[in-house]
Amino acid sequence: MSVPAVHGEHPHSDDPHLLFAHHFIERKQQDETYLVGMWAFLVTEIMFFGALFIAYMVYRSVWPGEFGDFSRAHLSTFLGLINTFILLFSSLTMAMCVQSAQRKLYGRMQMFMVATFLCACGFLVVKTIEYSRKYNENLIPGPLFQYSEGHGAASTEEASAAPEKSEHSGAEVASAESHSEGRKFSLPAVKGRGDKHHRHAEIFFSLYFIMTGVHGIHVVIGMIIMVIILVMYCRESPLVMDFMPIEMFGLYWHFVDIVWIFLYPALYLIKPDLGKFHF
Amino acid sequence: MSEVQPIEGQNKQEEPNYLNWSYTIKSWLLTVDHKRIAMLYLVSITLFFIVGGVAAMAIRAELVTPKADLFSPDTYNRIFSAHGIVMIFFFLIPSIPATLGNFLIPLMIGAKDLAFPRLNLLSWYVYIAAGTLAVTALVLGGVDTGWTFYTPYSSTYSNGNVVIALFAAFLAGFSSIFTGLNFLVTIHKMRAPGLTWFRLPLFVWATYATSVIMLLGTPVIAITLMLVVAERTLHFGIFNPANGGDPILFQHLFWFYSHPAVYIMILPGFGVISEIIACFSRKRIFGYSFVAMSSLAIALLGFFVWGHHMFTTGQSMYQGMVFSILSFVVAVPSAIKIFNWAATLFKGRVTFHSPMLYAMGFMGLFTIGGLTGLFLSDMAVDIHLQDTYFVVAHFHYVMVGGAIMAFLGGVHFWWPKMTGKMYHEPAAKIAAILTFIGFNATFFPQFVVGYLGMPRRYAVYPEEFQFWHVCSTMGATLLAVGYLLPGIYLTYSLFKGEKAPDNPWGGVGLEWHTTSPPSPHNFDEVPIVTWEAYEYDVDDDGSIYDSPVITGESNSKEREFTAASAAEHPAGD
Amino acid sequence: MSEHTEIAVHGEYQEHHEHHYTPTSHFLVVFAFLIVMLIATVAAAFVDLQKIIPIPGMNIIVMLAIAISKATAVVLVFMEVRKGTRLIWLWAGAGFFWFLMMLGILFDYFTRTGVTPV
Repeated sequence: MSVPAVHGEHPHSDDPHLLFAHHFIERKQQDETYLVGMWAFLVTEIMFFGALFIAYMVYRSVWPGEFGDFSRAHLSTFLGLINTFILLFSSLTMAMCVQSAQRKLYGRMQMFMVATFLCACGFLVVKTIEYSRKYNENLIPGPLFQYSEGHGAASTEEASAAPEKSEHSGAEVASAESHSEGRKFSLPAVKGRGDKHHRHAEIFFSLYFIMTGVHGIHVVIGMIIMVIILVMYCRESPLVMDFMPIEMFGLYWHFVDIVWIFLYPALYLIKPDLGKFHF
Repeated sequence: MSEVQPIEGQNKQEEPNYLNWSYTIKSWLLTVDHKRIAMLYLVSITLFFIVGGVAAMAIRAELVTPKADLFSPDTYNRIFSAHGIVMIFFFLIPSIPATLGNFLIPLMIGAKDLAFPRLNLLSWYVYIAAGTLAVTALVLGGVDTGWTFYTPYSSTYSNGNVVIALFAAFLAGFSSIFTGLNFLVTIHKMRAPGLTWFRLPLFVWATYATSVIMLLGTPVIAITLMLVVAERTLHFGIFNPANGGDPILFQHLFWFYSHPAVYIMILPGFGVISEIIACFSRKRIFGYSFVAMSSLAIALLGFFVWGHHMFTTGQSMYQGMVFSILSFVVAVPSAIKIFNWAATLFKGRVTFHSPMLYAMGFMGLFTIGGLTGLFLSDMAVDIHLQDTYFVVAHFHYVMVGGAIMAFLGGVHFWWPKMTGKMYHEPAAKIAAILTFIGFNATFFPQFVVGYLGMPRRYAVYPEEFQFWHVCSTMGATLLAVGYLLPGIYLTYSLFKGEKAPDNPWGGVGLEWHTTSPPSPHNFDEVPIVTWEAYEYDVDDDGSIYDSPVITGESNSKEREFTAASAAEHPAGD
Repeated sequence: MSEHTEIAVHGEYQEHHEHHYTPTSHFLVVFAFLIVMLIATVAAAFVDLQKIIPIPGMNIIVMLAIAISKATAVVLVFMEVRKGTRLIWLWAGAGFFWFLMMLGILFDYFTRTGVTPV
């Protein structure tokens, strides 16, 4: 985007808003191309997160009550609400940042980008609090997982040295079948792993960590890009003096926000309990 | 490079072209020229084809005898997994789009490059990184899960290098996402003035449809494979039945991409065949708009049929019925193409140069492959044929008899344009025929032995099947010769081949109106297109085009490309 | 995907005009809308909406509707799609539509009969 104009017919300009690469015919074509390209990329992200949402929907549809139990017991609706508010606000600051870039108000642009970055930091802080809580409550899926709320907190003595697979292959299938919540599916009880509530909880938390984790990775990537943009701004690189990179990053950031808009009710608001609506 | 020999009718041969303007390694490895990137891809995918081909020869060698005497069953599992992973992710999916597509799309639409040249280069590097990981996984012993990585075997129980292989597939997926994204935006935004959608060559339509699939399907398998990695490494299991998870969910998510993926592999081939048949029949493709829209229809419908890979898994029977009927429907657009190509040949002035031989082979073999797909779409029949060699034969007919024949046909057709050299035509004809015969000898017996009950992915089988397997292996040897020959004479042509004219076949696409090889920036000026696609039978002075003659003379009419003369050429000229 | 012939303005210098931008007030209105919707969705979560309107899964329907409306507001205003070209609309729409195609996977789980280990 900082390549001189085509054919030498266009006057060289210091205004980065007027430059375009050699394989484009005009600036407008380049702008639209970059926007379409960014949207095409966001479409891939929709499918990327979409698959996770589908997996979540599958399990929630077959275990609706249980997912509500897990969510209510261990996910803080309040912390999730804080995070949602932070991200919505960061979307506002990002939109203002893009607008400032379009109006060539570079000081304002920088200010709003720093604000967005700080919001992202806040989001990660809350996320860290949540994750460390899960760790302390033994809710990280895997060998350390130990669901303990209400019934069936049969903790299993997982041999930490032995690989995970031997434990699965050693499980025996009990002859009696247990029914989950009156649905027509039945599940053979598996000895040695706690009851099915415990096992389903492990799936719930796997989904929770994967979905929020992948989302968190996207937030971190956004933060890295913001740092790069701010550094390039300090160096007055033409890349950031042109509004298009900012606009493209803005699209990405709004998308990250949209994913969270769906994640929050999906994971945190299944069957919340007003009594637990606190920090 | 051989010396430039002035040949009558040649022009602009002293000007640098994209190959010879710089010979440094840096200019190749840091290029953003789509043509050079296409060549980088061509070399890379050929190397992977060799790896996958060696695995194939190992499979056929083992299957000559009913017992697992050449390899242990575990080793055999790793070999066919390697064959599938390498051939699908590292050869078939990138083959036509990343080589021919990269090279031709900007030329065919009159652009100087793709929309995002640096993304194009990144896509190649990601592909190389993925390939390195794949080779690492193979060297470390490979995986025994099959290319389908079904859980919970892949996520929990397998002892192979699953995580490395999954990362390799994941990265290869991103390479194809970047390529698809690039093509989509390019075709939307960078067509030359006057080049409306229905004036585009059918190869561009096919590439567009392929890119839609690449963009929309690949992320799903990317995240699914990462879920398996998470289950395997972090034990974040959602497919683990011991926890109440459903392994079929993995299959749903996997096939949601992998079925459209097979359309990624074949659609560009359809585009190539359209171009070749039009050129060597000297006729516009019959039903051009139907063929164009059928590519889009395949891209759309292909997303609705993934469950036909899962008829016997225990998925809902009602869902299976829906998938069955939709699988029948998705065959219709492909059939439309075959009918239209046949109609194009009718009363065309057909000549049988080597690209045309590959195209003819394609039509026959793809038809067989497509029809046998219908057998498999029928749920009741599929119960008998699922996971047998019938399925193996079906997909090899469409992917090898179809996609690879189309790829070879395209490489031959555009070889003069890409390299500026002519290959030895008689050798090419022999190779095409040998490939066709060898292919049928390899895979037709597999239909029979599959129907008789031979399961796929088995190293051991009952003695009564041995006859068919021996036939198949004999055919495979012939097929290998058929593939080896182009490697020899095409490479030979690079050094000793006759210099190619700008338009040896007399084609009418924009790509034939640049030099062979093209200059680094494709066109000196942006062309303004005022004519319809495939105007083979129209000329300025009313005379019909000559048949393609491979001489030094360019025998295509020259089109005026300046804005000044646009007024003299009203649309439809 | 224009059907009209576009002749390149070749050799003419495209005068760069001031890029139109969205006024701050629009952003603030949308932000207020988002916050209101957020409060609504949290509040609705605590109420069993099926008792008020007896449609099965009413809570889920309401939650989805609220989330979709928030996402739409972000897409149209923050992401400036309402000012975008037809191509942008096509891509924004196609993405969300294509996600819906994956819902076919759910169909399997709703129509299974017999014993299935889920």
